Amino acid sequence: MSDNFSRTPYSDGHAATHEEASKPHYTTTTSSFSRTPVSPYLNYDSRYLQQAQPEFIFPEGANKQRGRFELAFSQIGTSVMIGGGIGGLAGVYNGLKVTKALEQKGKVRRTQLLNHIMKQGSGTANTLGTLTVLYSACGVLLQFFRGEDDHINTVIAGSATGLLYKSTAGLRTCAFGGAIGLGISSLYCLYLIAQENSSNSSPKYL
Amino acid sequence: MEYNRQPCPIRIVEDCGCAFMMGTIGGSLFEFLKGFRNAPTGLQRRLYGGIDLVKMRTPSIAGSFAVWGATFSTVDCALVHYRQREDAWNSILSGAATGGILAARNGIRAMANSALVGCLVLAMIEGAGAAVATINAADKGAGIVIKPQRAQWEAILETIDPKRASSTQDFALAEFERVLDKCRASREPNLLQDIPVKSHERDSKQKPFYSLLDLVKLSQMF
Repeated sequence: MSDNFSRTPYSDGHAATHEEASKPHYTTTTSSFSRTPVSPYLNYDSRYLQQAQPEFIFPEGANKQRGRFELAFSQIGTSVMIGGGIGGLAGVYNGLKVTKALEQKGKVRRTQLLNHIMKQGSGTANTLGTLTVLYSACGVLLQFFRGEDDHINTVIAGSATGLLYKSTAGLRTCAFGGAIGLGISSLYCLYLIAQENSSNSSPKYL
Repeated sequence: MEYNRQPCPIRIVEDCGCAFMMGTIGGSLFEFLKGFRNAPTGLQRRLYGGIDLVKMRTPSIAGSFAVWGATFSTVDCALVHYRQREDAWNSILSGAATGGILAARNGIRAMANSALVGCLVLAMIEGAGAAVATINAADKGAGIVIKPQRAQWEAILETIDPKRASSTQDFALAEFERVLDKCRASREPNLLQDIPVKSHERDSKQKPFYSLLDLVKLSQMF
């Protein structure tokens, strides 16, 4: 009888015949059982506890993931801020170019720079925000009427956004806008599907 | 659906988006009505007038709402971090600071006026919220009547013996007598000689009296 329990690895039951007579015969339940040493001071085998997946507690009646309406605010805010950032940088560039061409100095140059930044930043922010409001509204309406939330909603919402945004600019431009929306949302859904297949986790529908 | 506000850094983005959406929907409605009313006669011309004005003016209105919401939430998060508490004064001070900040390019006088307007607007909002909470609390307080909780064994004994629902001491005595009757039925034979004599004496009395010796013998039996 060996008393060095911490050094003895767990046997898989493939020991020799004379060792099988002395030791009890164990059979593994799963293939992920490891050969880590077992402490003799524990009343249970702690290796069984390592097989469990992380579990979360959800309130009763709550969804397992956030819906489109909750995500809409984050999307719109993110779009407005990103648009403001891009427009602001473009405003800095245009302002520097214009003031350099007109050879303005001092307070006049500063005022012109600020005006360019504010006008172009707010313009781009408002445009991107409006597009995101249209997209989120179409998505929420589709979820409400179809009762499901999946990639089809994303593609239809993107196409509807493009169609609506260019709806008063003629049929040809309207179709072109719808095609752009369809293309962007399709690429995004393909990216999500590829990510889903690679990581084997449930996607977060947008 | 259930909506929870996010913690402080993400709250700025969410409040910006929420303000932009409110500005878009409200601005679309108001600008459509204005354009519809201001257009020449004819249904098609009026509809086009409304749609044109919505297209032209709604993005800038929504942008103003978004800037206000983002600045307000930023100052609110800064105050929460600085004061380490969340109450109505954070909102009121944030409203005043937002009004002042957004009017900074128009001079000191315009800053003061905008700060005052922001302070008053947020004070009214917080006052309305507090009033609604007080009304709800008053309605809840009137409806709830606290009932004294009855003993659980009291309800059980009522089902067993409904005639003895008058007082609780009779319940206790009845329970005690029931236990003693069960103990007498399972007595040991060596105690039979002493107890029947005393039991005859106790039958003459109206109320039974349990002597200490009897209780000690019963406890030794257990």
